[in-house]
Amino acid sequence: MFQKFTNLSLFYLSCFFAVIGTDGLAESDNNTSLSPFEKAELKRLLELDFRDLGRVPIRSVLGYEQEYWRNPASVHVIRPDDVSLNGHVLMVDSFRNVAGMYVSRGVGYDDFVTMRNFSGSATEKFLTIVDGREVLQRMGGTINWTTEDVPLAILDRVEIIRGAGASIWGTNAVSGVVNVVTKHAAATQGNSVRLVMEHDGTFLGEYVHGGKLSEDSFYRVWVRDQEYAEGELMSGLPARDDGYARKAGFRYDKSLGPDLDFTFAGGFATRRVDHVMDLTARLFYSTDPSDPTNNIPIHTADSYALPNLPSPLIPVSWQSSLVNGETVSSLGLPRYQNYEEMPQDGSHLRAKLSGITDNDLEWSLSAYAELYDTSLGHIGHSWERKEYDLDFRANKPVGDRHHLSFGAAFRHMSFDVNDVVTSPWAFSTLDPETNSSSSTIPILDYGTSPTSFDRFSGFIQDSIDLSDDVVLSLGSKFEDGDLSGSNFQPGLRISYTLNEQNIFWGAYSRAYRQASLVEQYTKVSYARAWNPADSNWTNQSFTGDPANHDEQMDAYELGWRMRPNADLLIELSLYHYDTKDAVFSGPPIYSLSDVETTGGELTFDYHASDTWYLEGGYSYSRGKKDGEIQIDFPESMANLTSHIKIRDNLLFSQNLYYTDDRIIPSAYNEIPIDDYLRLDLGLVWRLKEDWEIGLFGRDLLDSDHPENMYNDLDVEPGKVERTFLLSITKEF
Amino acid sequence: MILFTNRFLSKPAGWFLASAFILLLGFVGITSLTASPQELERREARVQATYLAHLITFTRWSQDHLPKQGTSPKIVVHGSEQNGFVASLEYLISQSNIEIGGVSAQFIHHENAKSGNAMAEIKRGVQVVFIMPDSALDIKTIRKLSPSAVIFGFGRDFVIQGGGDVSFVASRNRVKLVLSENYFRRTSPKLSAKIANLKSVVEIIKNRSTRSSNE
Repeated sequence: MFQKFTNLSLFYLSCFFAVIGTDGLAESDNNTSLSPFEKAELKRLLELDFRDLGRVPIRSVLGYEQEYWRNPASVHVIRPDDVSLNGHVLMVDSFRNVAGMYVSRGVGYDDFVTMRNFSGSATEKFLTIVDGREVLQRMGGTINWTTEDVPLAILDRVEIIRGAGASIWGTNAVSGVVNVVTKHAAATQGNSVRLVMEHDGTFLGEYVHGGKLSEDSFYRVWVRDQEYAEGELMSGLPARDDGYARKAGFRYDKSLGPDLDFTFAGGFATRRVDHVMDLTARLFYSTDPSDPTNNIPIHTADSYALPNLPSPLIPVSWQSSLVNGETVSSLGLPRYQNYEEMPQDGSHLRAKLSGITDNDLEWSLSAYAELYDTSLGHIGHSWERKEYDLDFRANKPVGDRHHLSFGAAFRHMSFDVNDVVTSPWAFSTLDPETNSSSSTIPILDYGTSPTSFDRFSGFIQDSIDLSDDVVLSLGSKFEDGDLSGSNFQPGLRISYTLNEQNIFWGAYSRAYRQASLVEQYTKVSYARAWNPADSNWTNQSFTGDPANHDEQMDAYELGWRMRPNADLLIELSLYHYDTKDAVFSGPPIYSLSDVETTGGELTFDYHASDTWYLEGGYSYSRGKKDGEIQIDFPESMANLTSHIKIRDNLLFSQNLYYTDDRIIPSAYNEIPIDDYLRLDLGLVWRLKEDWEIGLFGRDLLDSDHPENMYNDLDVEPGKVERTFLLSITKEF
Repeated sequence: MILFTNRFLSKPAGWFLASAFILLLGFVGITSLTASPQELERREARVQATYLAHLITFTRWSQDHLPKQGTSPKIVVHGSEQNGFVASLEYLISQSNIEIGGVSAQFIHHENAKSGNAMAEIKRGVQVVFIMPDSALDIKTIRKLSPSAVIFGFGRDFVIQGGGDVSFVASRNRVKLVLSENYFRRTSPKLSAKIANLKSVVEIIKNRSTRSSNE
């Protein structure tokens, strides 16, 4: 598979070098007083309107303006065209074009994203922010990409900062930061409709309306509907992943005076889908009650005619979850599964006041309130979360060479958790912890664990122009909270401009990842074991540990950025992460391990001509957990994008992705995922300035392949199938 | 806040950090005494050049103020290159293929030593004149020679005292525009009124006659 990718890439690269050969790598025009970096910045500035140009700082804070070429960080910026011109439906799909990001699909509505190795599970280990609001789900440590996605018409950019960014962004910015920024309401005036239809019936519709209340106040409202069509699992069974996700939102922007702005915004999202819990290997026969690792599946015990088997062999409540005629072939066991509803509702309001004083102090005060209500019916675990956040940040030039930034924030979270037993598990079971029998032991039991958490944080950073060639940024974030205790997360970054075409940078950061509430506070009852000695089903469980509150990572990074001319950018980023106390879930226990990750990305961005644009990247990442190489993350990934303008209003889009093989980890059912090559082709026709029609074929090389699933929850991965889609965008 | 302080400073790390913060402030004070890096000034120049390119696009000239058919409209810069401003403007004009009256504009830069050439050019009729800080040209003379020209420069006094149309100032870490009210009100060359509403970007200076009557 990698050979195919290499062959196709060589074809593109040979064209690439042919163009370069005629064009010349080095600057050859007569204007030699601007460096290639400056010319590239001018091109970017030219795309800004007056309002956005008015926001460009003369002196910027390192790490805040992500597209500044001296920024000592590995950054990729996604814009709306990167979504629509590459046939992506959602913003998260476009992360596949970012070297170092591993994006995979489970069933139709499940997207998994990890950055630079280091996961082993669905838990995201990077910080994701949407307009200043952290969107990580504290309960499970995941992100609901569907509910956090925004209409393409209001998306300004997504900044992906690879690498620990805790000193600026805070806790959980371990492997990086994804910062989603939407447009000012003044930039979305009028109406916009976007429709995306896949051949299998999956549909997305978005409508955005913007207007003006006065010369200095603007608003927009929007609605969004996504309908999921049912797909198939790899075995051919229905995936039962049909459902819908609907969202609505608004934004109001007002200029209160010169350099004094107010924003008020909010949104509501609701999703209705079903989810499965794999019950295949959760009933055991205990050969040694003191050692759960000696349990064997109950069907296996039956086949061996072991003594004193339960009667009935399978509890009555469990029997209805049998999938007749199906086995989980890797285990050789009859397939049991339970589907339940998984409703999710989220709403938020946010407000922001920002300004710049006469002595160049740039400040903002923002607040948000969020209510999130979800029920994981397949686990019997539901919770309502209320979150309030108040954040102040400011920056100011000090003298000619320093730029201080600082801030403080407070967050309050409270949870209302409810755990119930799901129907298959409702049979009499001995709980060893209480030494009593019960038929209502839930899979996840939050018990009487804390439900209210406060967090104070502050940060300070200084960006220093040591000379015309060297910029240094040093600072730290300080946090004190109920979940993670007290910590400080320092960071040091430096960039050195070697010459007009080459910049080198390096960084050291310490970052913490706060373990999820599940990892800290829940008792996970993952199986039942039949004890032949006392003829009882006994609960098998493991418990989170409040001491698992922080994974600590030291990150070392080096980077090289080269611009031979304004049309070509080549970047190399290298990193080594040293993580202590990384949490890995059981059974039979939550364990803490030391993990080392080493890798890098090589990317290029090339405007070969007025009609041909190329972009691509290769990433390598190797992780070791307690000295052993991790195989749950693809070591190599690559992507190549080519846009060819056939005519002024007709674009031919090509995307090629390679993903190395990996293992989906599991306590009892590891699933190997072979490497795969994906080819997407599309035509985008811009009839007039306000019409865009795209026709795409995705995954053209394979009829289907598996990518991912929730280990130990899903039975098997869903098919990621070859897809044809039509997208229509109209502004009026 | 008291709770945060009590919890934080009760730990040795808290005192270490507080000390480090004080040392940092001292370091900031010591290293603030050197001259500003050139990159900041070049950056400011790039933003100014981009504003200029946008303003040209939002300006309308009457037919009388456009060159004859077959002749390109002209953007003239007079004075020495400073911080890459002239190079940035020339690059932006080439990249965006700026048109004036539907015809691609021609960019011309005259150094101070060639003031005579610049004056001759202006006399033949130009659409935009940018006066660099060291330029010896006089705004009133330019207006008489070429009433079709929008006149750009630096500093608030360029508009308030000098009678220019647009100037750049640095304020609150941003590049701002100081615009003469006349630039919006006259028939040609006339700037789109949309720009006037961008209070964070634009400061409008009333005409001298209006200012006098108000005083």
